[in-house]
Amino acid sequence: MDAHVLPIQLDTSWFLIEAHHVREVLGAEPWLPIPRARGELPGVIVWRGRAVPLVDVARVLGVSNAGAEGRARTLIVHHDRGVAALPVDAAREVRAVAREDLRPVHGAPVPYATRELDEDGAVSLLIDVNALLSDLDRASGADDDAGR
Amino acid sequence: MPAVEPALKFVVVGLAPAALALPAARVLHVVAERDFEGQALDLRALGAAQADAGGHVLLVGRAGDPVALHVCGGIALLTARASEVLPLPDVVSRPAWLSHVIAPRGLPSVFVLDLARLAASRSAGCPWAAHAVHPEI
Repeated sequence: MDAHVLPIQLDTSWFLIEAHHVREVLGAEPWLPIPRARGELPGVIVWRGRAVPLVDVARVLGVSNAGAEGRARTLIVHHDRGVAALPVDAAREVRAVAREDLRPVHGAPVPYATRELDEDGAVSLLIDVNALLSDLDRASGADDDAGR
Repeated sequence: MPAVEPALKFVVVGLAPAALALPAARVLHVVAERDFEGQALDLRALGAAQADAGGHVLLVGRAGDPVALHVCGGIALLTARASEVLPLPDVVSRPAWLSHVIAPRGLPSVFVLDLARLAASRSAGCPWAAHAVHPEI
């Protein structure tokens, strides 16, 4: 059985997220900064007539503290508690990967990395989008129906 | 005959992207800060895109028991279509005490202060400290 993953680039690193989370891949979207917001949740975009929180996934993963500006793509992802927008530098086509090739991550090189794909020494980490976004929701004190 | 979409009016303080909107119907009075005396929540850090703008105190909420908001920046009236006023998800609104974003043509432009929460909580736990505002003599 295959897993379907979307490769995304943050700075010079490539990560994988499970494709079923992804609703749409957009270009750079205009976003409005939230006053006094924490860095992980810096702003809001509008997608299909709804306000969607922008999550600085590069900051959450510890890749970069440079901010969400200037990233060429915006992923719209769905998770258990709602919808979020993730600015990334690039996204490739969805790939089918044999599940046995996604091996458990040893240690915790990056937060929310649960599996890794080693292709001839090039390792890509699979990010648990659901856990990442649910943690942000909980940290904000959002209700259980947040973002739906 | 096509249905007419309701229009909503807001009082906007400051300039985008740092502007802040309040439902106009909930704004009871706008007082120049030099004419106000009393306690007000200090929101001057919000909406203060104009460094040389003067300060005002907005009295909002119920007529008999208003909340005073000390703001900085120009004040304008904004009319938006109801479909342009989008509720914020809890993950954003709860920590920021904001309720909606006004997004003309899909472009997010101004956040709306959550006055209902301010009134319900009597501003307890809100991120802005109350301070004394004194009239100029």
